[in-house]
This record gives sequence, C-alpha cells and structure tokens, in this order.
Amino acid sequence: MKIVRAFSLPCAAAALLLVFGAFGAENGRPAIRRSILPNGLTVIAQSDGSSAVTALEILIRGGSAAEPAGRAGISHLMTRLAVDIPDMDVARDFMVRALQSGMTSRDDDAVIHFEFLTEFADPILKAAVKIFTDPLITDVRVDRLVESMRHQRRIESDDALALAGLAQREAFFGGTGHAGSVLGTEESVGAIKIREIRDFYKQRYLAGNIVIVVISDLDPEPLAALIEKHFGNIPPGKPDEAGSTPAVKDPPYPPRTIAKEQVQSVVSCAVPLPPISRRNYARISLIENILGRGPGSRLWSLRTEKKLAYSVSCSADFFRRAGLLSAVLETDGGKTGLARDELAAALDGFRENGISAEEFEAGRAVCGSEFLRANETKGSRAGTLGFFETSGLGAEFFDAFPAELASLTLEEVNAEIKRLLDPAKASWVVVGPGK
Amino acid sequence: MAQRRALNLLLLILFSLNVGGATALPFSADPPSSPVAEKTFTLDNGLRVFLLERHSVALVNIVAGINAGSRDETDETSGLAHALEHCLLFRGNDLRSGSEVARRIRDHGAVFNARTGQDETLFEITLPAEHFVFGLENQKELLFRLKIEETELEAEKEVIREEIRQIEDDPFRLGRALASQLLFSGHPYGRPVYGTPDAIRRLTVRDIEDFYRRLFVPNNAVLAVVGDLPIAEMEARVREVFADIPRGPDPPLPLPRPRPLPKTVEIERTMDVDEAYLFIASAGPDYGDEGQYAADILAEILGQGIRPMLAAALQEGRRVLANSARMEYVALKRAGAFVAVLTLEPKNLSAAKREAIAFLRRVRTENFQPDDVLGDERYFTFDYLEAAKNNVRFLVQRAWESGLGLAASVARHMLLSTGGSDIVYLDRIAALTSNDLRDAADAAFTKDAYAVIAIRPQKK
Repeated sequence: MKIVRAFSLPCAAAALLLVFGAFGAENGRPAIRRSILPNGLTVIAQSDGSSAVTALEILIRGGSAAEPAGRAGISHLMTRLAVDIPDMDVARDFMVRALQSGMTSRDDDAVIHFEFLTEFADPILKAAVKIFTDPLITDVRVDRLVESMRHQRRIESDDALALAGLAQREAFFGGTGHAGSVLGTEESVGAIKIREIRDFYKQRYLAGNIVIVVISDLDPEPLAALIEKHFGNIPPGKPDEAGSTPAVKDPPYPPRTIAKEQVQSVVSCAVPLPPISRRNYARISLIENILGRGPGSRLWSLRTEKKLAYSVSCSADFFRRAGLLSAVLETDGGKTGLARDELAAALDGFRENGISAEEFEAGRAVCGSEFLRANETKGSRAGTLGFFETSGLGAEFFDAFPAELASLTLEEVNAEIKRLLDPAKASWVVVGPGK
Repeated sequence: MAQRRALNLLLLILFSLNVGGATALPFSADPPSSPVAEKTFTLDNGLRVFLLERHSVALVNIVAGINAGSRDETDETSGLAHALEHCLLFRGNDLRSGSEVARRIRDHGAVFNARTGQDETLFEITLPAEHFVFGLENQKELLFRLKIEETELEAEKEVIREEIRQIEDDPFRLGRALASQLLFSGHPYGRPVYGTPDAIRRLTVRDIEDFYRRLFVPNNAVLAVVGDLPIAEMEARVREVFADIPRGPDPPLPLPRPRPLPKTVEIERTMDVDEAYLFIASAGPDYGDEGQYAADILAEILGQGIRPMLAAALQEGRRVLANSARMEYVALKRAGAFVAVLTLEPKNLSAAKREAIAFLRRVRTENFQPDDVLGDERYFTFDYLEAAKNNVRFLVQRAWESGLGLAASVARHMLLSTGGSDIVYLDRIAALTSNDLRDAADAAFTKDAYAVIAIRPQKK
C-alpha cells in the first residue's frame, strides 16, 4: 500500500484553500484530504457515509509538556474553558441537538472532541466555535473548573493503575512537562492567574497552531465549505516553537513503592521510548502487541501458567520527543514479590531470546487487523488521525501504517527489543498494600 | 427492504446497548449510505443466525451467544457460568490446548474475547474477512467441544479470584455489582456474576460439565456475523460449519421475576479512596416489557448528556452535593434496574443520598418539555424529551459504525427478546409523551425500595 497524494483542482467551496490533497482513496476507503485554510489552520477531512454522524476534533498543539513552569494544569484548564457553555440558551441548543463533546489535554496537544448528527452541523459548529474563539475567562468560571479538576484529581488518585502510570512518568521525566498529571497539582493550579490563562489562550489558540480533523457523511465539497465557514475566522498566527523538552533522565531509576490499602498490587515495569517516528511507531506497536496484547502474547503466561493476575498487559505511550513502554499486572497483594520476579524474568527472556519468525508474522497480522478495528468508528479514526498529525507523523501515516508494518524485518525488531528492554533502563513501580 | 429490516433490528438493539432511546419522527430513519444486506435464519439444529454484510473495513466479526448466564446457577455454584466462559476461551478443548488455540488465533490476525452476564454469555472474534471460515470453526470448537482437565480448572480458578479482587479494588465496578446484588437479593439475578471465592473454590469439573451439557446446545444459542463478505457466502459457510452439531435438550423455562424490595436497604463500604461513591438502584422494566421504551428515555433525561436532570438537582447554585451524577438503565430478561451513580465529597454523602432520593420521588411530577407548562414558563423549560430522542437517534446512527458492536448487540437481542423481529422500535418511541415518562418514574421511584451502596474513604 502506498501513499497517494494527489493535488486536485480546487473546487468552488475550497477555492481559498492554499493546499488541497487527498490520500488513501485507492485502498477502497474514502479519501482523507488535507488542506490549509488561508488563516493557516490545517484541516484533515474524510467523507464517510457509514453513518449520519460527524466526528470532529480540534487539536491545539502544545499540551501539558509545554506549560509554563509551575503552572501544570493550565493546558487542561484552558481547554475546559474553550468548551465551557456560556449560558442556558446555548446549553439548551446543544442538548436538544444531542451534541456529544469531550476534551483532554495530552503531552503534546489539547484535544476537543465533538460528535453530532450531521443535520445539526451548522448550528452546533456556529455556537461551539463562538465559545472556542471567545471563551469567557472569568473568576467564577475558573473557580468552578478548578474545583472540578480537584474532584478529577481525587478520582485519579483513587485509581492504582493511574498512580503507577504517574510514578513511571516521574521516574523518566521528573521536572519536565511530561511528568505529573495533566490536571496539575493543588499548588500549580491554585497559582494560575486569570491573566496567565488569557495569555496562554492568545499564544496558543491561533489558526497556525490548530489542526481540525473532521469525518462526516457530507460530500467533500460541502464538508470543506462547512469547515471553512466556521473555522476560517480563527485568528492567524503561530506561536514560537516551544522550547525543547529535556531528554529522558539518565538511569538508574530507583524502584518505587506507593502504599495503597487495597486487595491487589499493581506491578509496573516501564522503559523510556525514543522520539516518535513512523518507523519507531510501527516497530514499537508490534513489540507492544507481541509482548502483552491478549491471549498468545508473551506476558499472557503470567496469567495462564503462573496464575498471578487476571489483567496483564503492555502499552506504549508515545510523545513527540519521548515516550514510555509499560508492562503491568494486577496481582493479589500477597504475591507482589513473586509477581515482580516473574514479570522481570518474562521481560528478560523476551529480551534475551527475541521473537521467532512465526511470532513476528502473527504479530504483524494481529497488529494490522487491530489497527483496522480500533479505527472503524469515526470518532476513534478522528482521534488517530489527529494524534498522527500533531505528533509529527502526519495524518498520511494512517494509510501508510500497514505498509510500514509490512516492511519491518525480524532482525530490526529483535534488535529493538534488545535495546529497549535493557534492565538497566527499566523503572519498577508497585502500588499496593503493605510496605 | 433489507436495509429497512436491518435498521429496525438495529433500533431494537438499543435495548442491548442500554443507551436509552426514542425519537420523534419525522427525522430521517434511513440507514447509512454504505451498502448492507441482512438475513436471519435458523438451522435445523435450532441455531439462530443473523448475518449483516457491510464493507467499511476488510474485517468480519462473529459473535456466538448462549442463552445461559449466572441466573442458571445455584448458590452453591455461583460463578460457574463465568468460570466456564474462562475455561472455554483460555483452557482449550478436546481438539487442542489453550495455548494452541491462542496461537492459531494470533496466526490468523484475530482478536477474541468473551463476557458473561446474568442472562447470556457472548463469545466474540474479529478477524480479516479472508479468514472467515477459520473464525467460524474457532467459534464452533469453542462452544461445542468442551474438555476440561482438573488442573486447568484449578489454574483458571486462581485467575478468576484475581478478577474478583480487581473488582473489589474498583469503586465503580464494586458499587454497581453490589447494587445489583442488593436490588435482586434472594433471586438468581442477585448472585454476583463472578461468583464468590468460596463457591469458586468448590466448583468441580463435574459441575461445569453438567451445566455445559444442559445449556451449550445449538437450540439454545445464536450466531451474529457482521462483515465484509457477500451475504450468500456467509450463509453457505455458516451452514457448512454449524449444521452437523446435534440438537440438545430444550432450553430452560424462563425464571420468575424477582420480588420487589420491601423497603430501602443500604450497604456502606470503606476503601482507600479520596472521593466518595454513591449508587442508588431501583427496579425498572425488564427486556420484554412495554415500559422499557419510556425507561430508556427516562434514564437518558435523568442521567446522560449535557444537562442531566439528576445532576442539575444535586448542583443547584453554590450547593454542589455531587461532582458527577449519571443514571443508567439496565434491562435483563426478567428484571430491570435504574442505577444512579454519583461521585462526591465524602462530607456530602448523607445529604446527597437524601436529596437524590427526594428528587427521584419527585420525577413523576416533573416537566419534560415546553408543552408541559403554560405561559412564560415555556421559555425556561428545557425540551428534555426532544433532546433524549435526538440523542438516541445519534446513538443509533453511531452504532452502525462498529461491526463488533453491532454483532454483539444483535446477539444479545436475539437471546433476550421474547417478541418477534417485526417490532418497530422507533414507532413505539415516537408515541411516548411526558405522561409516559411520569408513569415510568412513578413505577420506578416512588416506592421506598431503593438499594443504596455508599463507598467512603477509610480513616487514615
């Protein structure tokens, strides 16, 4: 499968677009089109008639990793304000039109997600973009959202898996924007001034810093016109490139135990990842799958044979400049030490022996079909396209991923496993009962 | 015509999704533009089959469902259905070991899973369409070739005990499980789906085989396939693969309905948490009940979307008794439940519980749309009814996007539905009025018969 990047004649609706390209049409799926509006806003669009729904993501580059020092949580707070409904009339309109919305702040971007019936696209976008472009940043609103973030932090701290994940980030990225919760801390959020939020907004919510991903049953021309109409007036501009994030801390990473009085322990082993690239993404996705994605994966024996856990898994978390690969299991508190030893042995064996040709082929097959399944719905596909775009891989990678996966070799994957899973670079965290 | 039938079935599926649902026509009820064809038939051995052809991705999703779940256990065998599901999925069969099953599945680029409920057990597999026959044969082996070794069962019991421990550490899962157990106490639905550690320990291979022989038969099963293949080919392959399984004993008779709680009952748990969690459950209509339509919409209005009524009642002005409040409606074959799920500051537990129940009792007098009031008040009255109907319309449309979701929902519907497939969900929903919602609220919330679970932080 190859990338098709065909520059077609601009249609009437897209006459003002500076760039107009399509990719992916030859694989039987609707083409994914990239364009840049005159104000500099990047649009990734796909017409897909599988439902009468439109999924739309607004991605603002520069997430929690690029927050000002001591102001952790400001990216999340600002994104909340950018979707905060200003009055009851708007709430009523959104409610009656069944708007589904959500937001999150990530390392490298903040994401606002909308899904709605396409017949309501115009009034919903009119109101939503007005909020986005002119958010009410007042004491009362900020206080309310700060209280809500406090509540979210409590729920986060009630979750042992989330605690383990935060501890792993601290081990590798402590002192940078990649460490800590995107919700910030009581102190950092409390220190944020209204003026700072407004400055943050003015610096980041500029067209040249925003990517729109939209997947809709509208045809390409009306879809392009809809986006142009509602997002074409976002102020142009682009912030200075955020300062480079410091490199991953050097090892060793002291093992960490967090006491939580519960029945099970979460045992987590993580290693840092190199900066994201298409090759790295494909390679590490494959390793993640072979190591700990369900029955037949390498860590599965800790469940079926060692009987240590119900949940045992591996997951990769990618950022632009780094990332982490975690292997996690949840085991009875009394088995914590044994589980740690067995997980370490399984990871050592994986590193020492690598994978066989059969595992390699099967892993590629599962990885490929899982990618299709995971991106079947418009909402999830919009999420993946947005992540690829803001992480620097480019939305085109969506269609190039299968080819990238197919071009991997057994030798390079085994070499990567050996390099990544160096025990000297591993961080161990346990969250659970007892000492 | 096939498209219309498929749409009607999908609308029925809303029950399975527990998403609530209704819509005031005249919105377009047309299915999506991508080509679909659908067929339902029954094999001679009694296996009921649903096929849906669609071409959005080159995958096929196969969900096999058995009309058996935790309701078919006894107090002594609590957790058996779930343990059997684990054994079938992960411990092999009389043809191959569990590790060989897993390896073959990965070799074919497939992903599989299963879930056990009170009424049903579903086995799911998604794989590239070119491996469709392998997927069918895998499902056939999984369901109809049981062989359990004592050692394998004992190993899987320990995995299940870990699963139970995991639930005990999760306030959301624990709260929902306890609410269901309390609401249906004394009835088979009141047993934990995952079983109790004691019952799990006592389970024998004999117990499981007896259960399996009685219930895992084609005339007590369904198969739902959604995928990127011509429907004629799907039908031919299904008939080839499944036709030789012999018919088994007749399915068991339906359970009696649970008796209503005589009064409100409460359980309080402490955990190492910072937030408090409150669950308030009350009985609702079951899967085949006419009242289910109104229950779907009522749950949507009370606890979903941008401004759910329950959250609004607990967050009036500066007095915020709950940080979040959802209302869920779960329809089982012979019972139903509304479950309010609140997260809150621990100091607000008592007040939130009191206020939430008081609000629920008042719902039968609430206004749900501007037409319910007169004069200027119309301007201030939210059109909750229209919003809920539109939301369901959205959910129906979105349900088309996921092949596995469709297959699983259809399988569950085929297992739980007692009526024919000619019911037009939209028509029933379209006729709903505010009075219907008040009647539903009156039936569900005015009796002093709530199951209340409070989870509060333990003292540190």
